[in-house]
Amino acid sequence: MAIKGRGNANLCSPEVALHPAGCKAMGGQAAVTDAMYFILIVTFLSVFLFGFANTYGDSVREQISDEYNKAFATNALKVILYSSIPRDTLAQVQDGEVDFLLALIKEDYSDDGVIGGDERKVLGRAISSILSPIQDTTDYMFYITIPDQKKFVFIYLHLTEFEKVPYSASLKPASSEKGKFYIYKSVKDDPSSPQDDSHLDFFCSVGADDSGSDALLQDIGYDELMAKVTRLVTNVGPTSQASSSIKLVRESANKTFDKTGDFRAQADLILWDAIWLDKTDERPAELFPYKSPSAWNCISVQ
Amino acid sequence: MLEKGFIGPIGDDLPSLIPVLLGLVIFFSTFTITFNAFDQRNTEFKTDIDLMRIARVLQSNSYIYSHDKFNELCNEIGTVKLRYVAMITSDAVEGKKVGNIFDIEAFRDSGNLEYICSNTSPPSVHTPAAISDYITVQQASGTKLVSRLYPIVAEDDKVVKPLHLVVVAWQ
Repeated sequence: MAIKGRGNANLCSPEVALHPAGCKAMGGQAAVTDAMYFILIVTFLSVFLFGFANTYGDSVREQISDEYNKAFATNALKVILYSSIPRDTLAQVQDGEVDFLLALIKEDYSDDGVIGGDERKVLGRAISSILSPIQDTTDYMFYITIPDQKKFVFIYLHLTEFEKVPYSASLKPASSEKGKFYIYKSVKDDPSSPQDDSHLDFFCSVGADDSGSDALLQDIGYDELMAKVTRLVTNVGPTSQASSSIKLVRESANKTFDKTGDFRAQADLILWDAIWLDKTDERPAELFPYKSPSAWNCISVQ
Repeated sequence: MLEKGFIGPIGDDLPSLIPVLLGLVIFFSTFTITFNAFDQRNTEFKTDIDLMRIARVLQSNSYIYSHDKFNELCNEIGTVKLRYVAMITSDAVEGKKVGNIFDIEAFRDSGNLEYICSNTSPPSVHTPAAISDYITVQQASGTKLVSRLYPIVAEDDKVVKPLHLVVVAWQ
């Protein structure tokens, strides 16, 4: 390196030694060059350290968050399946005879193979109250299926309602519908009205004769609806899921509960951060049809 | 006799000392910032993990079948460096509008017992007890506060009630 020549005339070349400034001037320049190299290396090292410090722990934080979300989903599913409710679907828990929510569902399912309107509302209300602390930021779906029979018994869907606001290139709200880009804002709830305007709740996979509404329900098979549910779940981003095996029974023709009337059913709870599910420029088909929920055999929860 | 322009062994290298010193300042500043960032993150993670440990012990299998069982679980927590308060609440299930976590009130069962577990002694406790009895908004503004909420069921007078376990911890 050049620094070897600093202050040592013996290491100077004869041409340099003859120059009036001599080796000392060359030595000074070499020292400055070395110092510049040093500062360059230190700068690289500092940038690396700074970058590392900024990302340090991100994966741990993500893991902690995942762990909490999983624990929350598992607990919520357990609570839904363990909770008691009054036998009289309009009464409060404190009043009259109570039973496990799941027992009521089993009993109702056993006679005709569907969950009736009142029981559906009770189950929906229980799910909604248990998940109420996170309902403003999280969307969720609870469903019961009988996979062997390829049958949806119950689906409850809680979604946040968004409005699509077009913006111009100058970051101002665009007057026309076609903007340069869009911001999806959650609809504000009107505190003066008892109804929740910012969220939409649906019962889905409802039979046409059981809907109790004028909605034009379509005939959707298990496979088609499961494909739609799977597409929704795989496109909403990170999800927290919990599943549990439950047993449903069905009365046989002679009004007894024999072995053939047992069904292995499955209860699933899926939670995800609230997002816009309608069409976007990149996604020509919506993940859930807000405007025509009957395409999923859904009816709005009153 | 000194040569013309020669200041001295250090003085001669003065221009090169400036970037060297600058480099050292940059390096040690970054090193200190990085070390502090690591330390702060590690403290945060430790707080989060401790809080989850407290919650995991108190939840047990998500089914609290008596007040005594809850107290038993509370005693199992052991020593933690954090100060914490954990309580079972019925506010969300009953549809009460809660402005912030400090307003959350403890659930009272049919025997008028509250389900609270804490390693701090509040100066005074209201009836029903609230998180603000243990830490106020003013106190929380000067410290790092972490909270978690879990659905849970508790048996009260043979009725299995859906409730929520709230755990709040601070340094």
